Amino acid sequence: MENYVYRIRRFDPEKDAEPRWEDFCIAMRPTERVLDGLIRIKDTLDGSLTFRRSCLHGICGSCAMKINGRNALACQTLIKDVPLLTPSSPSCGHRGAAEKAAAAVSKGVIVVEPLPALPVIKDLVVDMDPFFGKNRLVLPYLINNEPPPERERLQSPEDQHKILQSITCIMCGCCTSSCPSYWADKEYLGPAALVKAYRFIGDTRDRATEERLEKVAQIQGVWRCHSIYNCVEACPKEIDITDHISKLKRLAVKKRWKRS
Amino acid sequence: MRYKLRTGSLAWLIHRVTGVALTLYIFLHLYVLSHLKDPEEYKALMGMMRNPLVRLSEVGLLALVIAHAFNGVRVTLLELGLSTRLQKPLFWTAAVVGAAICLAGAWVLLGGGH
Repeated sequence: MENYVYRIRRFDPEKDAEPRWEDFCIAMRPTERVLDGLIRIKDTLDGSLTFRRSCLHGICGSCAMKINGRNALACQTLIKDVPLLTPSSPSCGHRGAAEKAAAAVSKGVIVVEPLPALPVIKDLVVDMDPFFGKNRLVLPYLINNEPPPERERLQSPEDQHKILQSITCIMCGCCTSSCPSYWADKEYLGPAALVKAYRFIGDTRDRATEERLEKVAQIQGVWRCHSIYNCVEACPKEIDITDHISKLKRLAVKKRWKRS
Repeated sequence: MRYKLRTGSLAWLIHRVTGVALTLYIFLHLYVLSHLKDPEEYKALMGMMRNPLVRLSEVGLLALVIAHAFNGVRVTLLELGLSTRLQKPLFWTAAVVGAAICLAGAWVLLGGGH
């Protein structure tokens, strides 16, 4: 066990006018996850610390947050993999002498903030409504008006493989909130919604490709993507998001050419 | 917004900044050229161009153009379907080749060639 300082961006709408920083010093094993530390802080130091978590195993996508300047799932980020910041006089004063001494000899600082570009509700909890709203715009469900077969609509393993990566998206929001284009334009669909559009456009059972391309081939759709790759760096499921958006861009251009 | 700068976002930032700078330069360039009235004025302007400081800023202009052009080619290739795995190698290759061209250009522009 070694001592680490968690520097957490906190905001309580009932008490704070502005977000503030708070430091917590706790002992962690390097093989533990950032989320383990947050849970321990909530259990032993400050029960008012607020964050989302559910499955603890990188599937629910609840614990997406900014850890030392990059978006990630806290349940999937090991302490030893976090690029630690140096403990430059961490202000642990409010927690007493023991913690202060611990900070001085701590291994490093882990800065934890809520996801960028989304409204903060409390501490590390952000309002995901803008994010899910973009998702709804691309019609995130199978559309097929042909009469249903006796059993399910079949898809060959090869066809499924074409959209396999985009299916693994857990909609945690790491990508969209890491995207500078989204920071600048909150009406931009964002990487997550575009990946979702690709997931159905590429699905051989779906019949609404035209409708979806219409939504996607807009200035605030694919053309806001400038291939910055922040989304690819942030994605906890290692989806090649920019590649998916590039494919949509090429489909959009082809569609336009065919029409003219 | 404090967010960790990675290769891709660095390339984008350079692209934006050089793009804005080059746009401003184009206007300056056209303004100066379109206000020349006779050969004498042209000669006077060309005389100013021999000033070492102006020469140095020409090297800067070359660097802006090279950076913007090379990254433009990089992004175009990537969006045409080149693998994302190549985005970082492409950036660093462009940076090395671009730096070499800028050095060669500096040698010529600053009079090392004669």
